[in-house]
Amino acid sequence: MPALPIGHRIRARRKEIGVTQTALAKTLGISVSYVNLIEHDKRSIGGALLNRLGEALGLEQGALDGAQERRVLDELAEIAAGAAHGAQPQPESARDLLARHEPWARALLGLHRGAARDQRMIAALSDRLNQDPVLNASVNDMLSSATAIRSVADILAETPDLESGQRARFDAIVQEEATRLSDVTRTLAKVFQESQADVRGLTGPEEVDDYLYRRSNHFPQLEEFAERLALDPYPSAMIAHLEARHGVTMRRCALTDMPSDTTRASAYDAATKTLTLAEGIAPATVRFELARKIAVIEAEDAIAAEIKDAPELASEAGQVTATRALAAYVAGAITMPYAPFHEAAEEARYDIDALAIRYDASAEQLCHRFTTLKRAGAEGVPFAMLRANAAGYLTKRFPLPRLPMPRHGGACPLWAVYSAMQTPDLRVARIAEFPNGERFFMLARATRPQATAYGQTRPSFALMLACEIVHADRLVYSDGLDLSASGMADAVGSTCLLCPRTGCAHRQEASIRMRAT
Amino acid sequence: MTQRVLIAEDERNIVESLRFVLSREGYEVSHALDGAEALALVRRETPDALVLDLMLPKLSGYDVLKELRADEMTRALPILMLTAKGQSHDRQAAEDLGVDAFMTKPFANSDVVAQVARLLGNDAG
Repeated sequence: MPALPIGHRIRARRKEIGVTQTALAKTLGISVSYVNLIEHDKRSIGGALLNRLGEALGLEQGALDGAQERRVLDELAEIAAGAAHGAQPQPESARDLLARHEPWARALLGLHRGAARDQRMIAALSDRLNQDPVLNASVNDMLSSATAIRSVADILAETPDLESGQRARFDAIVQEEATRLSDVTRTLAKVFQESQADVRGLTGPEEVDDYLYRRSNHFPQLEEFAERLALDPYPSAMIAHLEARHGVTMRRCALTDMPSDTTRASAYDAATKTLTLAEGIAPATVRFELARKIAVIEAEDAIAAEIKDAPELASEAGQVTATRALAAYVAGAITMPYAPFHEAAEEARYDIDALAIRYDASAEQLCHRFTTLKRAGAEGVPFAMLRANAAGYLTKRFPLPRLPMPRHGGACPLWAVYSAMQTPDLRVARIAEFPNGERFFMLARATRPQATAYGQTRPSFALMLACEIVHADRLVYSDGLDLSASGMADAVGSTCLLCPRTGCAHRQEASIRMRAT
Repeated sequence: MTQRVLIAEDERNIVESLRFVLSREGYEVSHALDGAEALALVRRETPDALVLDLMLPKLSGYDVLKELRADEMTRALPILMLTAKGQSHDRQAAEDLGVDAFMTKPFANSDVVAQVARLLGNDAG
């Protein structure tokens, strides 16, 4: 769904704050006629000039290039797709709603997100009621105790001639079962308390998605923090730093002996100041976990300052998740410092294998770091990133303004991320054309991030980077591909629900856009 | 001749109270604490009725029921099934396998006594 043209926005904002074309041109260091061309969409702009324009007009980049509006419109289209049959609004009318009644549109989004969250909560609780072994066993125990108590109580009440030994025995049964019943009740109460905690956790990742999107996943203060720290990013140096500065020691232990309450490769015991890392995890993970620990301790205030007052992070879960995400961000900035990493990435043309050797980093860490290269004047390729699990569910996403990425569930099955899953370690580089004609370069590979012990299933993911086709020639992976508008491309969509393509062999469900016409 | 009832139930306290209640009614009562023991006792002692819990260790009540109904010698044994699962599909599954009566926990002793009497034809008068 196209957003308002960027020139229109620039002109409207310039007039709103009472700046003339001449004054704006002077601030930007460009000619008045060039400003005029931009305002009439006769010249496309991006990169550094767009940043400077944003600063001059007091607007975030997302508001200026229509990315924020586009994101809202995409979500409104998802709402239209999910509306009851017969009551489905035309997705195209979403722009009118947003333009004329923005508070209503945003209220609708809030309700939609709340409903989606509630549905997931109901599904989770329903699964829990039906399948949770603890719950099933507890209910069974409770009914057994109640049966015994009732049966014995009947006997005691209806048998006046009960022999005293027998009566004492039945009294003891009532005592025993009453104790058991109260134990079971306590267990059940705990189960329900924990399920409430799980449910609260559902809101966190969504809020953090929104937050990182608004901040373009770039945090200048945290970059500066890591640069000031100027830490030698080698494990031995970081271990020495942690011990000397904070009294934190590191130990390794078998993955099977890791504390049972963590599924991660690392655990921290605050009482003994011990960081435990599982044996068998990749050296890149060891390095990253050490940097993350340093970030958690030393960047605590800097991270807190970033998330303080963030309107997206309304829930406690959102703030906790964001704090964790920003600690990982700082770890990335420590192990791959901005300026040299940006230079190396450009020089290697974003060759993940070459950079993995140079920085001793995993593919996922590198992809993450790529998405943060937004420093004014030293921008990297603007990438979207996503990660899908073996079930095809998108478990991580950093969107791009023009790339429609579904918020919930999976994406179009034709996206490279799903092809990569079929052949581990093979890089899948594809050009994808969306129904509106926009082309993106997609690069994906499957990854198995963590060593496991016998009997444990090793998790597998596929990672995907995507960028607008105009940037694809900066990537080593595009060599040999025809990047011209007439070159071969996969005809993809975002999700089946929102895709208007007809005759697609991969369609799983009807599109709202087909139904509406 | 005294009629014999076998109770197959893994909760000892329930066994104890049911044994007391059914004994007072004049039945000779024995018990099994798991499904495999229940099958063995049915074959060895040939009781006149079986009170069978659904959730039994080793062999579930369903499995015991299936085996008994498949065996010519025990096909006609009257069986009252007791269960903590009160959902309609549980009852349906038990009926499909040929159970004669079905009660959900917790139950009143008088109801168990009435059902056993009915299964053994003692409720006429």
